[in-house]
Amino acid sequence: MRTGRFPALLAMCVGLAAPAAADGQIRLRDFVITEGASLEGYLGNFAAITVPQIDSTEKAVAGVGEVSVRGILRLMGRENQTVDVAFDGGIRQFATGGFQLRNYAPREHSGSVETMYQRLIRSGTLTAQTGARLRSISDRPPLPIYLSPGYDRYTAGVSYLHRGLFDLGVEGEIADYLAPKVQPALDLLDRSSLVVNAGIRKIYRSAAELDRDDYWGLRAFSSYSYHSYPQQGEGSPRIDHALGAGAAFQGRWERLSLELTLEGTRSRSTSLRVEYNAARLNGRADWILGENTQIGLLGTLARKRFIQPDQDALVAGEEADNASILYAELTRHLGDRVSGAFRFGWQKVETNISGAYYTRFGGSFFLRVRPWN
Amino acid sequence: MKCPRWSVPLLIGALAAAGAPVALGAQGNLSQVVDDWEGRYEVARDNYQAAYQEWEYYESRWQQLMEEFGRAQAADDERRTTEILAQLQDLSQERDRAESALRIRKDEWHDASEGLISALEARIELQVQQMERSPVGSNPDLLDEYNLYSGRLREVESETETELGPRRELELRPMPDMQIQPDDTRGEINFKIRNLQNRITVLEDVSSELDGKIAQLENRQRWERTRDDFDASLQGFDVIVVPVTPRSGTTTAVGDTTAVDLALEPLETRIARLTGLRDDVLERIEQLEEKVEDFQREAERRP
Repeated sequence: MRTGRFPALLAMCVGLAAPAAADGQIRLRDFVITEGASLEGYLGNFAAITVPQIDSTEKAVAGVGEVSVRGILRLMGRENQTVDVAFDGGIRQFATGGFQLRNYAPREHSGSVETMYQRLIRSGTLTAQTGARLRSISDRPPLPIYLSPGYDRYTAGVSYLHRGLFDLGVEGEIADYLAPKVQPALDLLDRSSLVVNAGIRKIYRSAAELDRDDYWGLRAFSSYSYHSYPQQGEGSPRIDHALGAGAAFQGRWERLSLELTLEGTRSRSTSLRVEYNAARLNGRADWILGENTQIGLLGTLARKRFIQPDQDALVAGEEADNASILYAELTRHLGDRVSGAFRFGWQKVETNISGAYYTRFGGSFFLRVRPWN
Repeated sequence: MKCPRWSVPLLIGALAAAGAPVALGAQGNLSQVVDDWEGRYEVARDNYQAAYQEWEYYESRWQQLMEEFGRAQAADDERRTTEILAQLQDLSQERDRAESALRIRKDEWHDASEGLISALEARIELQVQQMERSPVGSNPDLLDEYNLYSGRLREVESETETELGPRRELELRPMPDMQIQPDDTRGEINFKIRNLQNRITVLEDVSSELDGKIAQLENRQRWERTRDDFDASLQGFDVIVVPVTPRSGTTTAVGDTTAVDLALEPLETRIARLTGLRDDVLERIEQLEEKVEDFQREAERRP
């Protein structure tokens, strides 16, 4: 694990905040400290190229403790332009059981900072954003416990929304996965991407009740993605060109908000064996059950089919073809500054070729404190 | 006389530029402007309500036919399906026309309400100036008129807000400054006390309205933050990341999602502004209550 990355992220935050702080403009929009504990179970016989450790067990459990801090700073808030910085950082410690060889104790560090500049111009809104996300993990366990590897990821993008109807955006990303000497395969995941997306949207409000906070809307969008994997491919790097299209529904009413997104991707590559068509359905709902109780639901269905009919090799980082994900969180507000939440989650990830899969399920409790609410 | 909408700010500007005691003629002109806008407002509101009823008729008929269409399709009734399709085609033109008319009528009503509110505000401003300059008790009708126009203003704002949604932020209206003159009698001071008490009642209404709005926004903010917490708990440690197709082209938004209609102003700013306004209102109520007590003490000493 490279050292000094997280202090560098902190220095970046300070560097961004300092000029605004000097002007006295800086304002903390939100700040929350979260502590959590989870109990999780894992089943399956899945294999991933980037997880070299192997254990013959198909059942494992983990107890997890975590603490994180998250917030949003408004560096500038003028009538027609704003600058916000969102930050998020935390640590998560696992204690695992059920492995044949030995039980692992993975520890994750994660931190991100994102700066967003928004400006209202004559006929629309211009948004520019940059972000950095750093993640590291020590003592990464074998499957069926799947934990993402560590990486440094940097993004920058600009988008424009014209008259609230048309949007166009470009975003670039560089992801560098942290490959220790014993796990060189992680370098295969290194990626540079450029994504162009365009959409058209329409927001509706009922004629009789034009409450400005309630609405529903539709958006149709399409995208072109360029992904370069310099460590993959023999002789020449793997380059993917993907076309995407989809539609999204979003609505918000007094006690309910709902989001549904369906998107399809057609990915073609310089490496024929990784060409595929994919579809993904994402759903999100939040429902206020009472004065102090709220429930959130989030689900994803992802399906992928390779073009080559006899595709039987794993693709690094994309070893699975299908994923089903469902999470629910019940939150109870215990006052203006404190809330408690129970989260229940289930994931199933599987391949088409060998029937390999892993399932993750479990429950968590979170205590969240907003000291300066 | 028809007064164009731009005549209101012009008239206010002319009065402000004069800076002189307000002429009764100006008061009369402004009353005429208010009356004119009242007429236009009533017509626009009635037109909107009629258009809404028409649209509602076509909309419910459309929904009814759609349901029948679904049933006919499920029953494989081809003849009925074709028949309903033809009816839907005919109805769609009428429905589109009604929807378009409704939008136009809504805009007209909105414009008329803006004009009437501006005219009433100008008239109240003028009334305040008049009250400040008139010897207290010399014209008791002034207070009645002030109350009449203030009441009407709140009525129009409430009516349009209920039907068309909130269009403008609440603000403190100007009110005349009351002082006891050396030659004021007990009766004149009591008149001023009633005036002050009336203002306190109005401000208390404003304060409770603001409390309601603040509570509504705070609930919304709590909801948004809980949503963000849920997202962050899944994304912060890549809990939701699985080795499938990488997502692309997603844009991460910072902060609350209320900015759907491009308003850059986040919820906490709106809450802070309304809270500041409510504090001003409460402070003004406190000042007025102190003044009432002072006036009551002074009235007891006067003949």
